[in-house]
Amino acid sequence: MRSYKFIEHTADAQIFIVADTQEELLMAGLEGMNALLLGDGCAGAEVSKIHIKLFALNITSLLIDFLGEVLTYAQVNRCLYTDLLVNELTETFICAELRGFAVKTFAEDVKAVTYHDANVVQNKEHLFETMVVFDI
Amino acid sequence: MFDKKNLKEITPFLWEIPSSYQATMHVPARVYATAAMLDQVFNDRSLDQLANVAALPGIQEYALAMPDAHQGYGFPIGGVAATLYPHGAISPGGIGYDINCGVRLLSSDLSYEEIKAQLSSLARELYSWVPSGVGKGGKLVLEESQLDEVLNRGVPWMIEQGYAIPDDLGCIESGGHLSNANAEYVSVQAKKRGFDQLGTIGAGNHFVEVDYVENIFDEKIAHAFGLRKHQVVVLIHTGSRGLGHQVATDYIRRMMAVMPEYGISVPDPELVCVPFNSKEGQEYFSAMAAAANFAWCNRQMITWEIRQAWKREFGKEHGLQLVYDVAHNIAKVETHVVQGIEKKLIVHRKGATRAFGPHNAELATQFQATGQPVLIPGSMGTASYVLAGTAQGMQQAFGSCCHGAGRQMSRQAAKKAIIGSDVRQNLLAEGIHIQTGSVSGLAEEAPAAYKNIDEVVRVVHDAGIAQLVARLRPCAVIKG
Repeated sequence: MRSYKFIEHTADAQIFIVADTQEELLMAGLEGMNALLLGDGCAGAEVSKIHIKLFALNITSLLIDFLGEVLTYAQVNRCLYTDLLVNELTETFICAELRGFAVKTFAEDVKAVTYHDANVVQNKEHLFETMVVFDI
Repeated sequence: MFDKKNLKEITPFLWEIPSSYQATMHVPARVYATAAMLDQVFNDRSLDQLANVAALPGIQEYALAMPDAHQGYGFPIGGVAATLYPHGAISPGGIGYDINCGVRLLSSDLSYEEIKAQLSSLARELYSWVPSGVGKGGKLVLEESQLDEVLNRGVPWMIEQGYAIPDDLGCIESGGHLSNANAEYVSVQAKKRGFDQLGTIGAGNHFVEVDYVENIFDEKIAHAFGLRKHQVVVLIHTGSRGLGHQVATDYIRRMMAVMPEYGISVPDPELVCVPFNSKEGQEYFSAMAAAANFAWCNRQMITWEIRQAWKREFGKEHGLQLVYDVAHNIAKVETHVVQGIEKKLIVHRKGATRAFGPHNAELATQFQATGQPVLIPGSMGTASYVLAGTAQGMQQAFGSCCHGAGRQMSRQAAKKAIIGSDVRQNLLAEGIHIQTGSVSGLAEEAPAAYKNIDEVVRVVHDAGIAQLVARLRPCAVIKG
């Protein structure tokens, strides 16, 4: 189970993501970021596969660093990375592959994924949740 | 949340949060604003962020917020903080993701009346020459060695390539080049995000704008800057594009991992920092300088594109001179007087502009008597301003000033309340021609989405940290 929703922000973009597992939380963040990048456009043929291996200080940093790494590849390769295959995942490490699909142009110039207001916690229903703010 | 009882009034334009407000504060925090503007500032977390900035290791005097301050990441946008060289902190959040986002002003020998009839065709010509829009690449695609030259050498390299004239250098902050830049400290990914971006403005609130000088407030300084009433000028607002964003991301991540090793903890993760003279601090400062050089080259390439468009529209005999170019997201090592003692400081300006006063050794000869030109863009449809740095600004604000109007309405709210095509039509009715790739983007950038620029600049003038010189009105706007 996972979801994302856009929350109003004065200057930039932010999403609130909820999921029942850490992996689903990463996917929710990815889907929210991709919705921002793609807007009303559509992605084309598969053009890229990337491998990501990241260490981080904690579960929140891992989420932000993961999204930031995917964003970098998206910008460099002009792709949208939508399919995530996790090989290994802990609160401080991820090893994964993603498949990327060509985009003609992005709807939004997402400069960065910030740590602002990001704090992964488990709520009363034991679901993982956090805000993610994108500098646009 | 803040309210007025947490602040002490120093003057009607300057308020102080005492260091006793929060245990982590090493110094007080000060905000430039009228009492009425404070109510708007209280609506977001800018003052909480400012109080957190006052916790930075080595911070001197005050953490400062300019009258256009609004909530940012770590630092409020419109924030200024100076830490003590060499051990004080350097914090990428005090510069921002768009390193050396800044503004450039060009002046022409034409008057508004002379070009009025050609505004529509001028706007189209500029739009065809200056690439704009999300991710749009430029005409100049750099090989790796060329990109390294741009990063290491800045605008002097552009002169060698024929995209700048030697006279341009004295009219750019720091001569368009920070000498501590080192392309080796810019990641491969950052370079991949920048190799085709020179000469592009991007999207959002970046623009090329044709204005005319509507009012002159100080004839002597305006004359020294080469400005006169009704004169046509051009503003450029853009930064280091994806390259700068990636440099910031790379080093924020890197500093997060090592900051605890220096015994530093900060109240907000986006205030992550390391000692300036640490390995990570020095490498970030070199990479930041390289990204800053890229941004100056970007604005220089756009200047070349605009000069080509101008020639096509008005003929070779009408040129464009560079008045000045300022950075509003940057950190510099500068000398300032702190409690009567000259100190070398690392001055962070995030959404704030350097505004050096008269007789400063860093300024070119033509600005010694007047102080540095300060360029403050408003939103399209309102006004922009030219000011001059003052001696009082050097004493009170580390020679700093505001950078713009600041948003007051979210992008989503703006898109719900405002129709982009209406914005275009309304502005046209006022004689302002818009060329854009995104009509919905116009809604987000509509004048109503921004604070009142007239009030913002009036505060810095009345506070004495910069002096009003000229008011500019737009007549053509190119946006992504």
